[in-house]
Amino acid sequence: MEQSAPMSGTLKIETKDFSAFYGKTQALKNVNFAIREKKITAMIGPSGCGKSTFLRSLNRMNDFIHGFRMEGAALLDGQEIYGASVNPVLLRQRVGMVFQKPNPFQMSIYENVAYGLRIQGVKSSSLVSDIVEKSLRAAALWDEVKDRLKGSAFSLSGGQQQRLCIARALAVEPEVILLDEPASALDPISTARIEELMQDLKDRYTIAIVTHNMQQAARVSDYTAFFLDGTLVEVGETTKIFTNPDDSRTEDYITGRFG
Amino acid sequence: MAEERLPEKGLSLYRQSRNLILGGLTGLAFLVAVTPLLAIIYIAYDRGKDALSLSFITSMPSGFPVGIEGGILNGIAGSLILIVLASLLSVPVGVWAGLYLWDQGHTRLAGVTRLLSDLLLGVPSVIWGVVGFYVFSTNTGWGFHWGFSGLAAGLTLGFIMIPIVTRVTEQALRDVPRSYIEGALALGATRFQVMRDLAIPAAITGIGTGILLGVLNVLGQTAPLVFTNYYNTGIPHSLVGSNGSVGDLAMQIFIYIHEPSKALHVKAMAAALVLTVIVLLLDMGIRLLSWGSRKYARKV
Amino acid sequence: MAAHEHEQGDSLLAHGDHRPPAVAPLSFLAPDLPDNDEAQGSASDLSSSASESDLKRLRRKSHVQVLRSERIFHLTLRLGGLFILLLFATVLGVSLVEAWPSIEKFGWSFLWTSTWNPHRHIFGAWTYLVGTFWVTGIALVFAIPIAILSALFLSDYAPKWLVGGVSTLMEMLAGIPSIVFGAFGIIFVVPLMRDHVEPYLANTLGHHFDFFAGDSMGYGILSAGLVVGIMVIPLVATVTRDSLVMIPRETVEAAYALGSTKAEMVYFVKLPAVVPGIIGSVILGFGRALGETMAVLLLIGNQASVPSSIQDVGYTISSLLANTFTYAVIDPLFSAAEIELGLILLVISLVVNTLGRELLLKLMGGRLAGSVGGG
Repeated sequence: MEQSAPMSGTLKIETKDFSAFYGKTQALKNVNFAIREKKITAMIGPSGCGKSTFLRSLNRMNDFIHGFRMEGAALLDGQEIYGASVNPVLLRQRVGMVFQKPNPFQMSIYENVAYGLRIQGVKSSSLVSDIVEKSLRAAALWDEVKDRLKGSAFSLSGGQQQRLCIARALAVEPEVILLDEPASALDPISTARIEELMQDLKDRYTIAIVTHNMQQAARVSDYTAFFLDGTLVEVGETTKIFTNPDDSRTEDYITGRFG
Repeated sequence: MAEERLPEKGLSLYRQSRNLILGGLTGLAFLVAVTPLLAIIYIAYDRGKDALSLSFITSMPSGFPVGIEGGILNGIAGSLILIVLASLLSVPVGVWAGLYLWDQGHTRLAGVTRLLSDLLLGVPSVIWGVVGFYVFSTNTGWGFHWGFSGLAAGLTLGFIMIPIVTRVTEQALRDVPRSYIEGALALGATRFQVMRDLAIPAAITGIGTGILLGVLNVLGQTAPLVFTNYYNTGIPHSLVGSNGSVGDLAMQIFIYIHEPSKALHVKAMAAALVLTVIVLLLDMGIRLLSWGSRKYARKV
Repeated sequence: MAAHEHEQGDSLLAHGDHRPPAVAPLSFLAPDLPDNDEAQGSASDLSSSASESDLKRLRRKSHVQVLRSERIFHLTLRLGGLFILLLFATVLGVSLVEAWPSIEKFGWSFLWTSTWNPHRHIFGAWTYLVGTFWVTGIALVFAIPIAILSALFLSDYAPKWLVGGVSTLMEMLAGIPSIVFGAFGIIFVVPLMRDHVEPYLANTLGHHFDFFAGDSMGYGILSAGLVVGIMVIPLVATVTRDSLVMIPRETVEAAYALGSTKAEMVYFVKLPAVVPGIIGSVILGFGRALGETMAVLLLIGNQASVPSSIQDVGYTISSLLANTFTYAVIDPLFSAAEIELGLILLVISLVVNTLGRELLLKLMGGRLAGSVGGG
């Protein structure tokens, strides 16, 4: 991998003139953007800038929002995400998501992770428990919960719950993981663990993270995109964005002059 | 004390007294609103206590006019039968429609369905009686020709219950937090799987509450029974046809209070107390249930 | 139909590309679902990435079956909604069809004809319409001020520790069946009116206004109206209180910050803000009072005359139907006339409830307090 070359790596997700609307309000304006395979891409910007909308558009979670519509193109491995023959359910098995607030199901820890497999019709219990263990290990949660897998997911702390949600997403073997402010509801120690975890996962997964914490973006990501008022202002290598941005608005934002 | 009243300083006597008067008025109005309701319970007890005993609810009415002796077992049994019949019809249909409104709630068809379901909530009970009469009871024309019978009345009450169950089911499903549902959708779950594995289990208490709410409403219905069942001093062997009428608590109160007999009035008040207590207990149960489910909703 | 649903963005299934499916069974319901990975073609490669493991391929293949049933699932659910439409159509249809002979014979004049003579086959709604509106009017005149003030008490004046308990109490008492109110009316309200209130009214106001005069029988529109009023107070109060507590805290604090007394805050800030809520609750209360049957039947005296005094007896549409319908059915025109009365009541209820619903939906964003036709 040509780690050092600017904007290197295979394009995993690409958008072309992507616009999104909620009813009459335009939330995204002609976004041209690329997420590279097995890299961490961070999206930053003030609240309401469209970064979450953009993230949710990539696995079509916005389909459930009444009045949502899009224009332009979003591609996953060169295939139209919003193509006529694409089944969003299958799409979401490839592009997983972790949300702002931990949202474990009212089930045991084990069943939370196994749920994604069960809904896909995996019957073999040995296979399921293999994957559950693998996923929990990958989410750095295994050692903490291995003795109480049958316990309720709600008995876990907030940070553990969020890692459980990550394990749950990993269990269905997605190719891309979208993280929508995954640490915003967590304490600093839990946040640090999630950030470590992202570095571990980066070898195998393409990761896109929305965050309003600029330090976090600077710490974890390879690339950073800055959104403002529904437009993509600037995207580039994280070091460049945070040290020498091209656009003055980016500089204003990262230096704390607004937002 | 003086410091605490500082903000009030400089208030004219007029403003102060106006403040006190409005406060007093609201309290008084509340008393006026609640007193009659409490008085009903007290008066039902006071006027009916001579008839109250355990055997009042465990024995059939007897004497002449019927009911002057004995109890209200026929009414209790009949009300139970009617509730079961009404639930058999309304629970599957109402839950089904509620699931539909949850799943496809944004479509225009669902919007119309929701409006009509809400409007059905406000249909006067005599209209339900007329509808039940023509659909189930009448022996001429179209319809089921079941006569004045428990089945006809039970299903008519079921009609009344359907929109209640529908509305509460939809609401209970909507109360399941969006984030919870999205968690499953993001894993690639289908809407059906989300409904089966997450939404229904999370909403089940709410749905149960809705069913009980429907039962609560139907329990006191009298007018529809006048059109579809009337009354039976015994417990019928069949729920259809000319001997198919059932007793019913509300109907029993109506008939007893309508008679110019002081003794029957005592029985009527005792029966009214029994019905009220049942209704209030059911109501309390519903509140406990929904309180529990709200607590649960906060957790997820 | 399927396309329409997808437009709403509410379904999980994407628009079908309508290629003929390779295997026939069930696929007409799911034209957008491939039957196997090979048949998908390049356009839908999203579900068969080259890099996926055998395990993944296996899982996704089995998942296709689930997806196919998803289509059936949506259609099946829609049947549930159909029941509601059917039920509504039944209610309206039965009323219209069975009332038709009367509608046809009397036309619009049915509304203002005050004769009701089964023997001569002349039927008119006027007496019952007037009776219905009298009872509803008395009920609302009594209930509205008390209900609004009670709502204010619950939202602003009652001590915090008391609010939960007493408002629950009021809501619970609202569930007491209509027939119990009726029995209470006969046992308590009628004697009270006959022996005390009505003679007093006749001897004071009655001397000056015929409206209050009368022979103080106890039974009549006053007793019926008052009892119905007691019944609708909790409904009106609860809905009003719900809209009162939705006023943003900032608005209230702004009023206090300007030095308002509590009364001034309530009068100048809260009440104007909840006017739509009050109107909505009154409309719902009106609808509820209108259809009230058993309590009225027991208390109004059931005499087909147009009341001219508050002490007069009368008849309402619902009490007439409950009282006489079962023998009216012997005569087709008689029963049709009664059902036409019911139809009028139904139409008014539907209009009133639509209005109240729209108002309150706008106000409360989806949650509507229950209003169920009284028994």
